[in-house]
Amino acid sequence: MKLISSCFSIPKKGSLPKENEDFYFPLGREIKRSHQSVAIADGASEGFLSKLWSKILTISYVAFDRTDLDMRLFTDFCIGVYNYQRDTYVKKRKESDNPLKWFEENLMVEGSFSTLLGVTFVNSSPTGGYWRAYSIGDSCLFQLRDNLIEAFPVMDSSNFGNSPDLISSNPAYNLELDNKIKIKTGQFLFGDAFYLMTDAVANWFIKQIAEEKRPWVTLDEFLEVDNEGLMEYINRLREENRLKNDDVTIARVKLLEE
Amino acid sequence: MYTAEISRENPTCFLFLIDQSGSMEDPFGGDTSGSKAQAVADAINRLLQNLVLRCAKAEGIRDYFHVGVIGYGVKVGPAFGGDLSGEDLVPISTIGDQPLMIEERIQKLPDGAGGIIEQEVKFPIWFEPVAKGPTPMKQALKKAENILLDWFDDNPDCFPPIVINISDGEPTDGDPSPVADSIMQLESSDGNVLLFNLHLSSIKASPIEFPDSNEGLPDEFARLLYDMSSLLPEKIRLEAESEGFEVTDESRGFIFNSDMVKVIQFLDIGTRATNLR
Repeated sequence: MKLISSCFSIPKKGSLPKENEDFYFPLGREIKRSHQSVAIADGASEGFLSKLWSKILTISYVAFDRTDLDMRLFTDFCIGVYNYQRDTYVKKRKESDNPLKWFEENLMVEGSFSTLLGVTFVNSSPTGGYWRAYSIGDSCLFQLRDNLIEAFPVMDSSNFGNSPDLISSNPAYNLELDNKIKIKTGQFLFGDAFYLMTDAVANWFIKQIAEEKRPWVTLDEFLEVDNEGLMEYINRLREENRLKNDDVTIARVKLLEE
Repeated sequence: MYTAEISRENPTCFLFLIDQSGSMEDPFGGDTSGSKAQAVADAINRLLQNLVLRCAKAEGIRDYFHVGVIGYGVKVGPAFGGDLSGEDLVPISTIGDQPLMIEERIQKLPDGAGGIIEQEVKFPIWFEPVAKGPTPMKQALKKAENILLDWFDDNPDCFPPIVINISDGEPTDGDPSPVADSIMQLESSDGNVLLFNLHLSSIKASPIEFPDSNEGLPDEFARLLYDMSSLLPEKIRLEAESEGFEVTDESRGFIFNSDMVKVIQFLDIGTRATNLR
């Protein structure tokens, strides 16, 4: 099978691109494989090295590439990678005569936090196959075939809040992780498109659908042409208070026959 | 109302008014474990730390908040020590960068595998206990009003500032109610200033948190501070509810004689604006 990906990501208004704590992986536009995972993560605004954590979670999810993911094993692996990267960062700061300040040390003790949504596609028939998604938090997956045929894990706009479930780099905050994981399996046909989105834009998307609109048509048009237009569109939605001012990441994956 | 985003371009401010009168040397109602002044200093230092941590990233502290601590006792004025002495309102990044001193404390956390680990954390100190002189609460509120008037000149659309007054009772410079009313009338385009009161009485009486009437309050000073407290906006009411407090639509930002755990919870709920951007 062939996966054609398009990804768009901008920080919240008033923030710099480097302050965007969302991450999507893989970054390649075209991938030909019979078994492939993709993932999106939304690093928490209040936290230390949130971008590093969302990046490690997504890249590791894609590297694991499993439909029978052991979330404990996966989390332990990610924490190991994170601790190594964090220690390297701390060492570099020390060596450049800019050691961590007290507030960074205290934040570091708390750890980093992020949502995670990962999907694995398996080409198991001549016309398509099946997918399995794992989710912690409110990043969303939408499956489209002419119309929306699946939304996961949030179906209703009222389910978005300010305190989504998060996966932490600190094991002390993952004690309830098993209760926070949501899993969904579905079928796909070649030609289907999957959208992965972080919460602010996913909330707008769900509201549009509730109003019987077809928001994916708008997004498709922009993603086919240019990111500039989409950036202006997102900024306009923010100004009109139709979209919360938050980091926005939209990834579209089209599944085609190779 | 009370929905404005708090960002570096549109920050908000918190003002803490701290009673530093001689009676703050007394322990809480009958408790002998330490003075009210020491407990309040600990609570304020912990709160300042939490505010800094909420704005801190690996690349620095974002100025979502400006914070002032006004003491009232022998004199009325800014109560920060060290390099921040004499400052009315200070950006949170400056507060984070300039504590008076930093202590090391031990924090216990679950290790994720059924055990407990002890971690060393930094405990910065900005504010030290003082307990001397009368209780010029009215002057302190007047000072707060002037600071806020200046603040609104530059920040007309901010999330409404929150003023938290911590006192053990009787004002000695007249009725502070008219000034308190003036403060609560000040507004940004997002709503009125919120004035909350924390009453640490020396008398032995049961704690009362977020009451919705002044019935049952033990003395006239508690009733005075209740009357000077804003209604909780919905967002803060929900925060209080989720922390296990019993609240109603008429609940006010007032607590009486609570233990220090509740005091810290109250301060945290009162300043927990969630839409930081």
